[in-house]
Amino acid sequence: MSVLQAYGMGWRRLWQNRPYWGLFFALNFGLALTTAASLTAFLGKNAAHSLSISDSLTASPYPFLSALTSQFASDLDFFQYQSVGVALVFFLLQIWLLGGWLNHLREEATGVARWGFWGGAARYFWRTFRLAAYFAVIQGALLWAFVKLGASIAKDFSILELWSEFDFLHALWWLLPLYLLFSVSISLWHDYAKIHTVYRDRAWLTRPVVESTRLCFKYFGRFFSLYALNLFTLAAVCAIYGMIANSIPAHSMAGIVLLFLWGQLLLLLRIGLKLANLAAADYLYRQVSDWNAAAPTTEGITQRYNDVFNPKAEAL
Amino acid sequence: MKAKKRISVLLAVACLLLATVGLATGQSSAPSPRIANYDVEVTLDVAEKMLRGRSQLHWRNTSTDTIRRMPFHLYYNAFKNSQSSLLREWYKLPPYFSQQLQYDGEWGWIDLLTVVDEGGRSLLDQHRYLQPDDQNTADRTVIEIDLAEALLPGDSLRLDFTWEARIPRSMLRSGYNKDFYFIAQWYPKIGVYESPGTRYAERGQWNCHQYHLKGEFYADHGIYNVAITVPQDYQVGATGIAVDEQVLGSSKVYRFRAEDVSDFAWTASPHLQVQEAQWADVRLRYLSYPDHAYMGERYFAVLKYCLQYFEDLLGPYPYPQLTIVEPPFHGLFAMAMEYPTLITVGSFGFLPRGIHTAETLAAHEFIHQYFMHLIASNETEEPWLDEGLTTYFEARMMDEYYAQQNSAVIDLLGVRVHQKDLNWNTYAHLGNPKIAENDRAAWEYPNGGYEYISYKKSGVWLWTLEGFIGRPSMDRVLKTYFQRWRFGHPCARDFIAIVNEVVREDHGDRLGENLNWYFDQVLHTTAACDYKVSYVGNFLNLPPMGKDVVVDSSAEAGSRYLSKVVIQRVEEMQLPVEIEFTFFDGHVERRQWDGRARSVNFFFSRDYGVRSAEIDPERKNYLDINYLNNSYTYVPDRVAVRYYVGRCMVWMQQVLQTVVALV
Repeated sequence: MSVLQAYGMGWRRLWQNRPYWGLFFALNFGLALTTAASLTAFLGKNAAHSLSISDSLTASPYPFLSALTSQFASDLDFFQYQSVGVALVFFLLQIWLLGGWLNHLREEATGVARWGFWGGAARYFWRTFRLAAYFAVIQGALLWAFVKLGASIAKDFSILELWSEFDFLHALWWLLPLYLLFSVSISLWHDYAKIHTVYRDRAWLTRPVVESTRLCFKYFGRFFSLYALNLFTLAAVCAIYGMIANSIPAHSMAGIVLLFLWGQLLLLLRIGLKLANLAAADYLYRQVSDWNAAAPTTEGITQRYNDVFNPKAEAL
Repeated sequence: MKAKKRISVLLAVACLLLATVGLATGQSSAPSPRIANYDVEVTLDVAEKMLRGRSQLHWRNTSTDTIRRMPFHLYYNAFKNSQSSLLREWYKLPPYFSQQLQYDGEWGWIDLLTVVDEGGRSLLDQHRYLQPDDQNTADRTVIEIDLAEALLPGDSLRLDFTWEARIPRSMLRSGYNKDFYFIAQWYPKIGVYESPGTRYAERGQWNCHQYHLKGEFYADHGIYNVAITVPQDYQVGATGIAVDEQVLGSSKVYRFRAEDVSDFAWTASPHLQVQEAQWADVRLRYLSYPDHAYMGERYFAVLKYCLQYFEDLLGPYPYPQLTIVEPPFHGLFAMAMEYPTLITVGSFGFLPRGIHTAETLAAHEFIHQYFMHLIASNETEEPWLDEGLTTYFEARMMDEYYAQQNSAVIDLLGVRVHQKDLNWNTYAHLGNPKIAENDRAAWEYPNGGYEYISYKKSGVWLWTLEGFIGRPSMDRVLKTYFQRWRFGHPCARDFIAIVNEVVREDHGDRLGENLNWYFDQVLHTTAACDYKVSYVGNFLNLPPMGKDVVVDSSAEAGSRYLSKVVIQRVEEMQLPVEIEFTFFDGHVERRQWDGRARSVNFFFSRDYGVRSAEIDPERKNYLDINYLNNSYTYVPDRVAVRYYVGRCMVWMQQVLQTVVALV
């Protein structure tokens, strides 16, 4: 079993389940569309009749954008609040769908059918949500620790104390990679905790988290290599996007449409990458863990299902 | 015969004496009047953070008045205690300053020990502190000394000072931190005696303001011979040129001479490295800590461009050297200042290469060599005269410089921002454009007003002035102003007089009898400018209908469309307005409007309706604070809207996808 195999498997399984890929993309697109709709109305009302918006496509957009943001500062506050609201809704829906995706991956790989995509989404929402909250706290703590460390190296950027800004910049050469290493490791741990939670199907998260931690420590090399491969893919995708996006002239409707579609392709790949990463991790998880022994049997599941949803089944 | 011979000898001796005096002060062919001349010896005590100095002032009374007392700036006393006007004006000190000032050792001050005239008479017994600006009796930044003997018109005087100064730590412009020293406004400096007719003086008067938080300096030109003693391992950079270096035990004495300058500043540190470059007869000397040495070439390139630009436009830079000092991070308090032949710049290692703010700052400080050093206007009373012109030139020169390189002052990730637009945005949007009149003294500006108005608004209305009178006339104004007032003390009135003179010659009555109507608005009021195209309408030109109609056979009657365009003056400022109307058949027509009424309608009767109306199509008027409403198109530009919506949507999608990295 190799990491490359898992990587390839991740993409293969994503392709096999492309309707779900489309679903995740549609969610992202649909929610972003709500802000786009109000922005269209705002620009249509306040700027569409001004030549400055037309000029901004061929010359520097700075005069137009600076004028717009200052003349309509309060209107733009609305977009800010709307964006935060949309992000929050997207965050919750993403948690919901990811539970379904993980359950679907598990069922597909093990052949043990339980609740399907939508049932899994509902069943694992609260657990995935709690996991997201715990790991957000851990990520936050990590960020806080590194910011404090950076600030102490930079002596809080005090003019009185810091000798040179290069003291800080040079420290960034090791500080930033170190932070990324830790942050990525926590994300990795988070992913395997999610997978383990779905396989174990326990209401309490302590054991899945502890067990997935052990797993991550034990197979850190493989897990991290897979993660690094996915991150490298993401970096490559973004670089290619940037290079091509900057060369698309946006002065005509065709150019604007092309630029928009190119942006959608990037989004599609980013979303695919996230799902493929989970699929590959799921594959790797099954390769290294005793998931089969630990997983509830079909009978057990049916029993538990009946316990909860159909208590009269046994009597019958 | 004997008497004749005696007279001849006496005449010869007199001539020789006159020649000697002339040579000593260099008055005969000197470019400046050389009124205030200083010989200074100062020792930097790095252990005690003290300056111990002796200075000799040679002052010439070029006025027609008899001088009986003299005021001196003691700038360092602004840091003597929390009651000084400067620290009171600071209102709320930045934390690092207020924190340090809690410790006695961090204050700065200057004590005059002796002041003696040529006759050996001590003058310090007859002194008083003046507070001409705010009557804050605790302020000790201006001292007035009575002369033992009145100084007659045309006479010269020598005063000998001994003094001690405690260098403030990390303070405004001047001070020390760690072992970096930037020493400015550090010696007893005489005020300016304004004869009747100089600037606004109706009778002879001293001009010597307290040291304020906002506002800078005003001084006469002269010769400075300065000997600076520092520890042997210290490198020194200063105004003028180094004429001698001498090691004395563990110390080193640097001797500098600067001719026809109005001030003297210097820096010292054991870590300063020197790079040099040459432009024509001017040596460029860049002093920085090693980690900023890479900026040297960038500064040299832009400063050579500036030197050439001003030589072509105004006149040559008259000094043999320009010293550029880049303070280290812990010396940032000294950054972004101008002194004669010495400027301080600033850059940060984390700025991307496409951001040219460091070069722009260097250009800005260099421009000050012309506007307030060579043309020594009063920065304290009329800050716009130097900061406005400097801001004007900064945008003009930098935008042209980077345009030559197919770049801009900010050129990052495909976005280019020009300095002129940055300055306009700062004036129109980031501050309050109506916060104060432009003719206030520096210390009288309310919070933030000094920067927004004396720098940005002045720069913007000078651009607008250029828009109205044209680049050739503007260049003639600036050249005349420079040539007429080089080494002089002009005021706003003098600048305006030159504008009116040149505009009258170049444009006759086209812009009115004079441009006072313009200066009255931009200088003396808080009025802002905003013209707006509020309506564009096209209607089918229907034939007359109804009872008893009269048949109209005019050309207009036969046209297909009647169009109406409404222009409004939203703000108070009244400026001539040019409006460009574009019709659907591509025809373009321009109309002029005096811009006085609150609203004006334009009617057209054509076969094609008006597609767009645009105020100020060539963007000559940078004073207009709302650029969006300067034009109106009959048909909205949906393509551009879709472009921005599309970009924002992709950006929003990216943000959403980034947020869920936490899921």
